[in-house]
Amino acid sequence: MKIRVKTFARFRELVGTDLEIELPDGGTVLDGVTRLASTASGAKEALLDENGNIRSHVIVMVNKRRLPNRDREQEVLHDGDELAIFPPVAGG
Amino acid sequence: MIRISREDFDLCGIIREARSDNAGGFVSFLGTVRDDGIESMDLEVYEEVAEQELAEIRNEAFERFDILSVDIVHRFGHLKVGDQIVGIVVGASHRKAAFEACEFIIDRIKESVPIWKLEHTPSGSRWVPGEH
Repeated sequence: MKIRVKTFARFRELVGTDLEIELPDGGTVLDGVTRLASTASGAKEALLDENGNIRSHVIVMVNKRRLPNRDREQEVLHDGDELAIFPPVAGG
Repeated sequence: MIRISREDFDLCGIIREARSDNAGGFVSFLGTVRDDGIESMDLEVYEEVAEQELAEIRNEAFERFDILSVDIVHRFGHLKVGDQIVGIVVGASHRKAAFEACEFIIDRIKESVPIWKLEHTPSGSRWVPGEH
């Protein structure tokens, strides 16, 4: 299945944005982020901790809905979903 | 009115538009680019989500405070020191609710609206760290 990916700020500089990644059916948010983490040097350290989990300050949205940190890694993605990943916000 | 835009805005014009006979006061907040040894900044935004989030913040403000109107404008793109970044206008029958709601709104914007600032200094560029 194909997942559309948007990233912002520092993460955009690392891996690019408006990407499309291919995941096996049943792929999860963690699978998607792990795939992105493997695409550029420095991305793994920025997105994942030493245990391969998504760093707690990384914000994840699926289809413009923010996922709470708890259980987000196991959230199953579906074909055509928009996965957005970004660092803590700093507007205002 | 909720707006995310590259364009500059006129805070007095927003207040003028918001005025009504029921209101007894308006409180505004204007955020500008501060000279922290920087020359300019680029604001990046996840536009659709930022609009959705600002609308949500406005709704929360209406639920919590006895207010009559909320207007929020947030800019993105390239801004120089002194430029306007964000404007908020809250109207209410009584001033206390308007002051409290205005502060609530800017605090919530800083906490949850997907906007990032890349500051340009003479020695290079740096992302403003977000709160987490």
